[in-house]
Amino acid sequence: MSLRVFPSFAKSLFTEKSTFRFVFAVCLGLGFSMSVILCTIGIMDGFDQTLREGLKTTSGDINIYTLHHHAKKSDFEQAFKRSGVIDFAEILQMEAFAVANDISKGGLVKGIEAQKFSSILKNKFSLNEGEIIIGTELAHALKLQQGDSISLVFAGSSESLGGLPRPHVLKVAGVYDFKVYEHNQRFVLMDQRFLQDVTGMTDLINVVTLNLPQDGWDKAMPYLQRVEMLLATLKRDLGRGYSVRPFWKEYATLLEAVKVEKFMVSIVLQLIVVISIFNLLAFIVYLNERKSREIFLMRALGLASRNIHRIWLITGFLIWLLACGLAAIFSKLFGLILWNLEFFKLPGDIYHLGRLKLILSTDDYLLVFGLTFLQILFFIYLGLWKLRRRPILHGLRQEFG
Amino acid sequence: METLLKASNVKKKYGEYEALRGVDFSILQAEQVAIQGASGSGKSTLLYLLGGLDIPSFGDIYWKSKKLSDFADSDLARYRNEQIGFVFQFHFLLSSISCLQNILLPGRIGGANVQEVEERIRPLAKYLGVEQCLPKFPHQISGGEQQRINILRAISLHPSILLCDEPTGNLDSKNSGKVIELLRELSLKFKASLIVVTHDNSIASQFSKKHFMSDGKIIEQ
Repeated sequence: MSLRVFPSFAKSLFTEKSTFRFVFAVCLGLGFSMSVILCTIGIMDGFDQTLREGLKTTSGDINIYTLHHHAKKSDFEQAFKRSGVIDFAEILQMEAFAVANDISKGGLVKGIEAQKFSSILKNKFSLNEGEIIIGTELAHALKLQQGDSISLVFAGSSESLGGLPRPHVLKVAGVYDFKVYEHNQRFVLMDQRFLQDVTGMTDLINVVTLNLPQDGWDKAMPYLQRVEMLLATLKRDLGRGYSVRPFWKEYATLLEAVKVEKFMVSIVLQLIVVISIFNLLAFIVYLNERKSREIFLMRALGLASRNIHRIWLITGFLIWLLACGLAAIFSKLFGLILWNLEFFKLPGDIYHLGRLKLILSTDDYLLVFGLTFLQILFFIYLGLWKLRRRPILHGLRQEFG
Repeated sequence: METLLKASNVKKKYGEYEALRGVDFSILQAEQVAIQGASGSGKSTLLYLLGGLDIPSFGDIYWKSKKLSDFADSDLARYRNEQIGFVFQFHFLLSSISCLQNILLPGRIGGANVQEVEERIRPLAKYLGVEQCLPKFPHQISGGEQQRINILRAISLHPSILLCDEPTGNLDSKNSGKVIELLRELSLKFKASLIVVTHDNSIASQFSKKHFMSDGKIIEQ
């Protein structure tokens, strides 16, 4: 019944410009409040995902580190065979000083087999003997560009000089964005064979990075669960001399903190929505006062209080719907600004990432929009409960007398 | 004839002020009654209590021997929508919608088939000489036309009773006579009871049955 009378009711309510402006302001306020929550959640999800993506640019799903020794490639064969791991790349990893243009910086050199490493990371790394790839921040700090020369100094590499470090002059084959600030600042990729030769560690490695088996029986399981299962298997098979870690382990505490913070901030930010809903409530009270002539006339003509409530609920629902649309637009807009405007570039040494991406899932939208809708329902009922006590005759006489 | 509506020892108080002080009243089906009285005598209060727009402070109002006070809010709303046709003094038309939409409003509220209501209303509008007013907005037509639109709205759902509160209060004597004549005619046509509240003796004199109210009581029948 109330739905059929709604167009006439709405027409009589929204004829004045002031009412239109008021309802638009309410929608705008509500939409903006919801977008604040969405953007906060989106930034945190974006941080989480971008950081994970960044970590994956130099790592497979799982990394194995030797703890007290260097290993041979054959040391992992049995364990990988048992676990079904076929996608893996061995790395010889060590600290070194990078020196160029009278500036020196500490770096982490990863000796890789370019083809295997590229296949694991789904990135194309091309390296020849005597060439290296460095991170963007390291290149910036050492004032280097592609094609420049750089000296890498490894510890105790020269027996003829009594164990003193000896520099090796290499060519910068590429400057690569490893996504994570610290990685860009420290990572140096070079040919594994060459690194083994210059450090005297022929055939030795100390890190293996690997991806989950593609055709495992557990393929239907969630990704994280599969990683955890393979971790446990590899730990058991490899024994005590190895540290087996998932790729996000380096930032696990931070990621956990972001997750907790996301939840807490979302709860706190609901307060902003409550404030906006007060505006909606004020709008309903305003309309009830300003349009009481129409409302009382309709009640006199047989519109039950219950139906008036229903009409207000429909009004609230439509405002909510419009506000949801506005919130989605605001969030997308903010996401674009965040990603593109120079002003929003972050200091990577503090936030690990230079840029934040806004990532919102359907669940995020449903959560924010759903909670707001419940709050709207609650406050509308509260407001209507206060208003319904006024008798029709009293209203008619007051309004038309 | 069946008694449609009955008020039994009805009192109505607004704070300390007693608007009705024990009124007994009844109306039969298709009966036409005038309630006459000076301003503040309680005649409009009685009319609105009969129409279910308010509840008595004491006493009862019966609709076909059912107490209105026992009706739930939704039943009372349905009673106002289906059984009662209100004709107000100031016609109370919504200015933001057309006259036709104003007439169809009770139908929309009651969930009636508005197309059927419109088909039923058009010949009546022609009969009342306001057919050309239907697409217009209330402010675009004269006071007499507005009152006829008001009457059309009141009878749009074929109510059992027409409750008219000073229906000619805003009209000149020529139009007043026409409106009362029209109301009586429609009441006969639809076999609807008619209660007209007025302070005007010339209007009340047109009714064979009339009540006179003073100080919240019916003092003469």
